[in-house]
Amino acid sequence: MNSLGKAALASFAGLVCLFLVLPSLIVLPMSFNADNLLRFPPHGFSLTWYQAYFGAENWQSATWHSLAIAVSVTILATTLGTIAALALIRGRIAWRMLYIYLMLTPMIVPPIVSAVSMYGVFAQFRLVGTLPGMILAHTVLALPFVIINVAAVLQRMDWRLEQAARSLGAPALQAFFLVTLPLIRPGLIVAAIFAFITSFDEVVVALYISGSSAITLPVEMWSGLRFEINPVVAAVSSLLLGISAASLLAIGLLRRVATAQHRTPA
Amino acid sequence: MTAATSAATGGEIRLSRLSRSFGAVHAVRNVDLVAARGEFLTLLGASGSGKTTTLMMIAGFVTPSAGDILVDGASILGEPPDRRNLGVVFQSYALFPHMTVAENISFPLRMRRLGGADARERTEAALAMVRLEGYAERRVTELSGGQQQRVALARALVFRPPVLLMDEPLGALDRKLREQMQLEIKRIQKSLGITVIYVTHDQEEALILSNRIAIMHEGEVHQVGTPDAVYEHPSTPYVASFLGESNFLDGILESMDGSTSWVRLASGERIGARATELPIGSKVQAMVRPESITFDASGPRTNSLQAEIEVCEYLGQSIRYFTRGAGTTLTVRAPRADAAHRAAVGERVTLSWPQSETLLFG
Repeated sequence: MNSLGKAALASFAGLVCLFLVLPSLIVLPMSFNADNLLRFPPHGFSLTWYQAYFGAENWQSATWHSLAIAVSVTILATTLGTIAALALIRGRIAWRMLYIYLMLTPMIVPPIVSAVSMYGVFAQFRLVGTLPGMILAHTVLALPFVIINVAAVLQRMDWRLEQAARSLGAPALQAFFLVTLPLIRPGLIVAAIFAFITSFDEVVVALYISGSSAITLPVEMWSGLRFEINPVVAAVSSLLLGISAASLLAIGLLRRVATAQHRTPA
Repeated sequence: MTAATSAATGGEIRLSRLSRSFGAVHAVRNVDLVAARGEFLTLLGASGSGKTTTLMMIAGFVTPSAGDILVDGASILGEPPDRRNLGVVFQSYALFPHMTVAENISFPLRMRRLGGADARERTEAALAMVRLEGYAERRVTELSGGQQQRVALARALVFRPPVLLMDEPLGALDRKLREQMQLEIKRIQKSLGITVIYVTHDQEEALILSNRIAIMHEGEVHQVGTPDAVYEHPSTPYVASFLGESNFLDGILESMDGSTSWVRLASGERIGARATELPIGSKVQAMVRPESITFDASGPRTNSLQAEIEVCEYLGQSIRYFTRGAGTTLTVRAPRADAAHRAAVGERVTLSWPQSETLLFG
C-alpha cells in the first residue's frame, strides 16, 4: 500500500473513532456548565453540578446502592461463573453446547424481556425494591460475561500442570488453589471487572426491580432526565465515564499479564 | 549418598490384565507386565499404541476398564493420583510457571508437610543430582528446555517415590541434548535404584535406556524382552518392522532339516532360515535385517539372491541401498565406504546373508 493510501486509511480510522467516542465525551464539557440547563456548548465554567451531586441525599444513596449491588454481584457472579466455566470446560458432560447456550441466554435475551420476566417472578417473592432482589437480577445478567472470560482462560490452561500437582501429592482442591487458580487469576480479575460494570451500568432491569427503595445510580439518572433535565446527570455521567475508562485500562493490562504468563514454559 | 538419593529403593509394579476402552475403541487391551525392583522398563510403540494410556492408568489419571495395578503386591487402583506416591515426568515438563525452581522442586515436600531445614536440604540435594546447583531462585520460565526437563526430574524424585513414570520426557529436545539427557537419566536411575517405567516412540532411545522393552501395538503388548532379545528375536512381523528395519520375503515352508528351515520364495528361489514351529507347507514371511545382507559372494549356510541396485543413499555412518530382487524391494545397509567402493545404481549384485539371520513368521 502506498503512503497516500495509508494516510487515507489512518484518517478514516480516526474519523470512526471520533464518531464512536465524541457522543460520550460531550458530557464532560456539559458537566462544567455554569447555568442550570443541560446544554452544549456550555456557558461558562463551574463545579456547581459536582457540588450538587455530592451534596444531594438522593444521589448519594443511589451511589451507595449501586456500589453495594455491584460489589455483591462481582463476588457472586465471579464465584458461580468460575465454577460453571470449570464444569463446562473440564467436566465430561453430555449436551455441553446446550448448557453453554443456556448459560449465555441472559446476554442474548433483550434486556426488557429479562426485566419483565424477572419482575413477574421477583414480585411474588417480595424481592422487588430490595437490594437482594437487585443483586440476584444483576448476577443473572453478569454470569454470561464471567463464564465467557473464565472459559477462555481455562481453555488455554495446560491441564498437565494440575495433573503434575496431583502426582506430586496435592489433593484435588489443593491442586486447584495452588496451581490452577494462580494461573487463571488475571482472567478471573477481568471477569470480575466485567461483572462489576455489567451491574453498575445496568438500567433497564433496574428500572423494574429497584422499586422505590433500592434505586441505583443509572435509575436516578434516568429519572433526573425524565422529569427535570437536571444537569447533575452530566456530572454523574462524567464520573461513570472515568470509572469505565479505568476498568478498560485495567482489563487491557491484565490481558497482557495473562498472555505473558501463558507463553511460557513451552 | 546425599539426602535426596539415600533411602530410595525401587518398588515392583505389576499390571494385571489391564484394559481401557474409550467407547468402542480398545486403547489398552489385557496388558500383563511386571517391572521388577530397580528395573528400567520401556513401553515402546507408535502413537495410538496405548503406551501413554497405560502410563496414565498407573499414574491414576485414567481409570482402567478392567484389570489391576499393583505396587509391591498391593493394588493402587482405589487410590487417587495424589496418594499413589509415584514420580511422574510429563512430556511438556508441566513445571508450575508461577513458582521458582526451588518452589517447584519443594512442592511435593510441601504437600507432605515437610518444611524448614530438612526440605531445604532435600531440595538442594535434588538440584545437585540434576546438576542445577545455583538455579534455586530462578523462575522456571527463564530456563532452557533441557534445564526445565532437569527440574521436572528433580521434582519427581525429591520425595523418593519407589517408581518413576516418564512420558516421552525427551520428545521436545534436540538430538544432542536428548543423548546427553539419556545418559543423565540412566546415571540417576542407577544411583537411586528406582524402578522406571518409560514411554517413548523412539526405538533407539528404548534400546539405549532399557533393561527390558515392551513393544505395544493397537493396545496390546506384542513382546517383552531385553533390547538384544527383542531386536534379534522379534516375535511378530510388527515388532520386526517397528524395531529397526526389516525386509520381508513371501514364500512356502518346504522342508526342515536339523536347525534349518527351507523356504521356497514366491519368485522361485530357495532360502534357508532359522528353525520354526510352523507346519510344512504353510505360507510364511521370511525376515532379514538390512545390515545382515552383504554383496560378498556366498559361503556355507548362506542365502543368496540376484538383485539390481535402484537407489543408493549416503547416510554418513552407513550406506543404504534399495535393490530390486526376488520380485520385491530389498533394503541393504552397508558400512560406510568411499565412492570407488560403493555399488552403483543399475549394477547387478548378489545379495547374501546367513541362514541363521533369517526369521520366519506365519
